[in-house]
Order: sequence, then C-alpha cells, then structure tokens
Amino acid sequence: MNPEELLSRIAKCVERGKVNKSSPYPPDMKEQDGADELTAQALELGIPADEVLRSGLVPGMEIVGVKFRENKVFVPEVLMAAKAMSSGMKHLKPFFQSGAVKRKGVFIIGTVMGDLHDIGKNLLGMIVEGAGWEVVDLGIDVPATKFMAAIDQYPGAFVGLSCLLTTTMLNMEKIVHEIKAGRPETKILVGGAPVTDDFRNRIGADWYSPDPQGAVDFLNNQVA
Amino acid sequence: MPTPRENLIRTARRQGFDWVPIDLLLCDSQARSFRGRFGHEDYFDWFGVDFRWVELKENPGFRNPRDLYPRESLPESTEFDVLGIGHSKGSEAAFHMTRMHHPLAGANSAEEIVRYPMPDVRRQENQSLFDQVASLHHRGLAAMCMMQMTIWEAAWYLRSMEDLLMDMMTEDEKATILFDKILDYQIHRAALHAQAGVDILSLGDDVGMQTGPMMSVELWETWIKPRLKKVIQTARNINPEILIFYHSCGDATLFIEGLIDCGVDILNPIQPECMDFNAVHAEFGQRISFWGTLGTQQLMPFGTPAEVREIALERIRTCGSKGGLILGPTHLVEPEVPFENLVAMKEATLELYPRY
Repeated sequence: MNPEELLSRIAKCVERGKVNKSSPYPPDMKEQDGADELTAQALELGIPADEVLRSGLVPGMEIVGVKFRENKVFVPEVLMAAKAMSSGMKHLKPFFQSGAVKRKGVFIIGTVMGDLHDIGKNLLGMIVEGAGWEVVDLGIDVPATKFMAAIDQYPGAFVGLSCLLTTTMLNMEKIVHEIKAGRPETKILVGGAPVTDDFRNRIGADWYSPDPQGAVDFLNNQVA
Repeated sequence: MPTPRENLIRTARRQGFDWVPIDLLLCDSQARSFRGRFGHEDYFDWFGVDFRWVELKENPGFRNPRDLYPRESLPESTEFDVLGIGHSKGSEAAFHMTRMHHPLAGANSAEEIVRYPMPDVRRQENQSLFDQVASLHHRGLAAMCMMQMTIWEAAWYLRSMEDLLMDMMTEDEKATILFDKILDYQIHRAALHAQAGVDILSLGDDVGMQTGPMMSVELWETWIKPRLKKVIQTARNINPEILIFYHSCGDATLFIEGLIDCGVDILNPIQPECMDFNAVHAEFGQRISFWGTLGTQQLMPFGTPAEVREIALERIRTCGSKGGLILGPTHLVEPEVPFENLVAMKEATLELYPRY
C-alpha cells in the first residue's frame, strides 16, 4: 500500500470508528485492520509521525465533527471515532514526547461552577482533540480560580466554558469576567444548551458555537 | 362539571376539556419562596393541578451501596438511590444538583452485570400505593406515577454513557444483559402501578439533545424501543385505560413515530428551543398529546409575563377544542424564573377557559 492510500485508510477508520482488527464495529469492516494497526504500519513504513497525524487521523475526525454538526452521526458514532483516534494516537506518543510532532495548541475546557453536566463538554473535548489540539479537561463544577491556574500552567491556551442550566449562565458570566480581568489576552469560547451568541457578546467572551466543530473552526483559524 | 381527573384524562385523549390542565415542578428555593408568599408549599393546589404523584415502595437489592463500587472511591457526601446509583454533592453553587456515580462503569465481565443487585418490588408491601390511588380518585384527582429513566437512562446511569454506548455499538453481551435486567425490573413496577389503578404511567429516557437526536433512530429501535414497548404492553394488558406519558429532553422529533408505535399517548416536554411545536403538532397532533411546551431555557426565566401569556394562549389555540395539551414549564422551575411568569401561565389558561 502506498503512503497516500495508507493515510486515507487511517482517516476512514477514524471516520467510521474502526478501532482495531478485533473490534466488531462497524460490521462492514469486520476482520479489517483498524486505526491502531494502520497507524503502526504507517510509522513502520517511514511516513513522518506529523504527517500520519495531520493527513491520517485528523482528517478522519474532522469529517466526524462536520457530520455531527449536520446530524448525520450522533453521540455513539463520535465516541467510536474518538476511540479509533486514540488507538492511533497511542503510537504517536513517543513523537509528541520527543517534540517531533506538536499539537496545534492547548484548549482548556470545563463545565462552569455550579453545573454538573458533562455530555456536551466531553463531546467537545473528543472532537477538538481529534482536530490535533491538546485538551486539558478540568471536569465539572469548575471555579474561576481553577481555570486561571490552568491558564498559568499552559500559557497561550484557549479556554472553553460549558453550561447546561440557565442558573449557571450567571456563573459563566462571572468566570468570563474574572479570566478577562486577570488574564486579558486569553481567548474564551462558550457553549451549552441555553447559551446564544447574543449572550456570548453580552458577557464578553470571544466565540460561541452551537456545535463542537464550530469551536474547532475557530481554534484552527487562530493558529492558521 | 367534570372532576379534575376526568378533565385531565379527556384532554389527554383529545376528547375535549373544560379547562386546560397545568403541571409544574418547583426547585427547592422556588418552593420556599412560594411558602413565604402563601404560608404553605402546596403549590399543586394553588395552581389547580389535576393530578398528584403516587409512590411505589421498593427495597434496594444491596446492603452496603459502597460495596457496589469496587473501582471508585466515593465522596463522603454520596447518597444512593434504590438502584445503587450514587449522587454526591457539588459545590455550594450547584444548589440541588448532584454528581452521578455509575457503579458498573469500568466493569469488564458480564458476570459482574449478571450479579448486580436489582431492587425488590412486591405487591404485599405496596398496599399504600393502592390506597394512595383510591384516595386520589375519591378526591376526583388523577394518579400519576414516576417511572422515568425507564430503559436507556437506567442502563446509562448504572453503566456510564461511554461504556454502555461502546457495548451497544460493539454488540457486547454486557449491554443485552443489563438492558434485560432493567426491563425485568420495570415490567414488575409497571404491572404493580397498573394493578393499583394509576391513571398515568410516566415513562421516559432522554434520547434528544439540543440540536438533534442523541443516537440514531436505528440504534434506538435495536436496543431500546422493543423493551419500552414491552413495559407499555405489560401495563396495558392489566389496565387498557392507562395513559402512557413519555419524557425526553431535547429534540425528540425523529423518535415520535416510534413512540406512538410503542403506545405512548402523551409526549413531554417538547422543548421549544429544540423542537418546533407547531410543526410537531401539525404532524403528530392527531395521534399524540403534549405536556409541557413552555421553555425553561428562554421563555420562563427571561421572558416577560406578557410573553408567557402570549405563548401560552398560542399553544392552547393551536391544540384547539379537542385539547391534547397539558401546559407547563418544560423542566424544573429553576431559581431565576420570576413567579409572575408562572402566574401568567396560570391566568392564560383561565382566560380562554375559565374554571368555576
């Protein structure tokens, strides 16, 4: 198999959620190599790790992000794609450690203080990570101080705030103000069921997207 | 004049109504502020709600719930429901919300799922359920029971969403075992409720999200729908008159046809931020009724009383003289909802159909 074909098969495995040969999912790819085996093969063939990431794994996940936005795939398919992605990523770990491959940047995410919901945030994390970013997930019920500490630990990081409840939108506003007051250069993305672009504008955050892929588009533009 | 029970049942069957029934659920701080205003917390009475909740007694299948968590160290504050699902406190800012802990998350063996202790539901310990229903009927009120988190959510809360979806997608036997255990438990509960004469069985599983379905209709039809149908059939075989209420958050539009096929009579809550009520009513309004429809993401917390009145009147007019509408906030009334908006909802129902 030539390198181009191999990379496009890796992308297909991520898109379809084909983790490895033994995985029965998806049924029409049973017994075939998955993202796990194909990524290892690509590296053995001498394809640079950076290219495996950018031309194999990431494009596969990008298709998933777009399809999710268009309601063509749903949470289970995103989850399977993320599993496939991480089965390939584990082979790239030494290259990240040596600095041969770099992520596009750091994206710190968390559900704001007072809110304990995490489905939307987790989906966002999977899709942004799949786009080649390092995602630092602070979890749920996260106070401003914790976001600030993470920003100090990862200078230049972008921050994503999530909430589900109208009650906790007020906390989102407070956290945005605190981050902007203390770390004014930090770009903040907001999202979650009750959040709108109008609300984003009122609280002084930098970007709102109703879906994860919109966050990816914004982040990628910032480093393009 | 009909009793509240008769009025509620008639409109739920789209056979007309004398007044538009209301339903609402206040969070703790709203209930406290209601008490401050009126000196009591019986807001169902004040708003003229036509039904009351009844409760089943069931015994947990475990002695020490912490034994159910071999892989997780739980916070001190954790409390456990009858299924053994842990709920621990968040920060003070989280008010009444709790963080959920999934006992079967990370379980690798089917054996552990087979062994998981389910609650024990018995007729002989549930005379009080029969008495509650009889007492409500005597007062002219309908009896409604809570059986939400019926199949999918019960399995998700026990196993965690990620593990359960992985099991389903890879057709792992762990998913089948877990879903069937839950089905067996829910069939027992549904049967007992139906025997007790409950009027409305409240089922539900969140399958919608803000902008679309949580899973494909195909996946739902494979794993969840057949089991939901069995629960409904069990209740109907005992009491053919029982009404089936079904709750799903978010955009559940694509599932409505399947829900009607399962035997669902009433859909809740039809979040207007996620679903177009008029379109849903036009397509399905002859075959299913609607409960909720006043959004708690935008209208109820941020709208004015005039806006609440306007939307409430629009809903009532859309449903027309056959009814098929129980009006209410789509979700728990959170602290920031002005009480005036709840009053506007109540007054709008009386404006078109005064209740004497």
